[in-house]
Amino acid sequence: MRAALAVALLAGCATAAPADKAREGLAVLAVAGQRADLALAHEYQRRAPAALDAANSFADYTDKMAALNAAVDALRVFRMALMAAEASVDASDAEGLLPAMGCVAEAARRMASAFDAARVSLPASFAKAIAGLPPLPACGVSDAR
Amino acid sequence: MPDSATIKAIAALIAALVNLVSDIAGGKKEDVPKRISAIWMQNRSEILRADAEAKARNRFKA
Repeated sequence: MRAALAVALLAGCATAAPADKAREGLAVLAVAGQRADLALAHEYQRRAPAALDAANSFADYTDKMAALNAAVDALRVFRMALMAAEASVDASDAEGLLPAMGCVAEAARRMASAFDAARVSLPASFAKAIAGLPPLPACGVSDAR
Repeated sequence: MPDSATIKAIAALIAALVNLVSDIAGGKKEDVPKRISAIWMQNRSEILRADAEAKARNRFKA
């Protein structure tokens, strides 16, 4: 059953505008994600020309860029997960927000792994932001317990 | 109404998100737009990937 976010939060924390608080937190995660995007873009600009020069076919080029491309894909999934969480807040879907944030956390873990494999440093603010999240249900699982 | 465990989990999540603002954004929430689309409009890395792949396709087509 869906319930208004404000109602759901009354028993848990007596804040005046919980949806606004949630949006502010999501905005911080978005800033961290955007910084990660810039770091990845910087590496892409640096490595793509060299990979192209060294490649002898398109398949060879994509093979050389596979790790960076996996990081690009993981970053896209993270951004989509954040936007899905924002949509839950917009819809006052308190119960939907939990699994949506579970997807954000999972996407962040996969992103960290993909960046590591691609040898791209994640900004420290990203790791700190993700470490600040509480235990969450697995992505796609609505039961928080 | 959600059950009490869900309410507690949501409250913990909101509290964590509030902490993110104070810990990482330094409490400067007024400087940060609240809409994700306003902060992070598009993935620059995806644009670069598309451009680089177009160049690669063009090179190896010839």
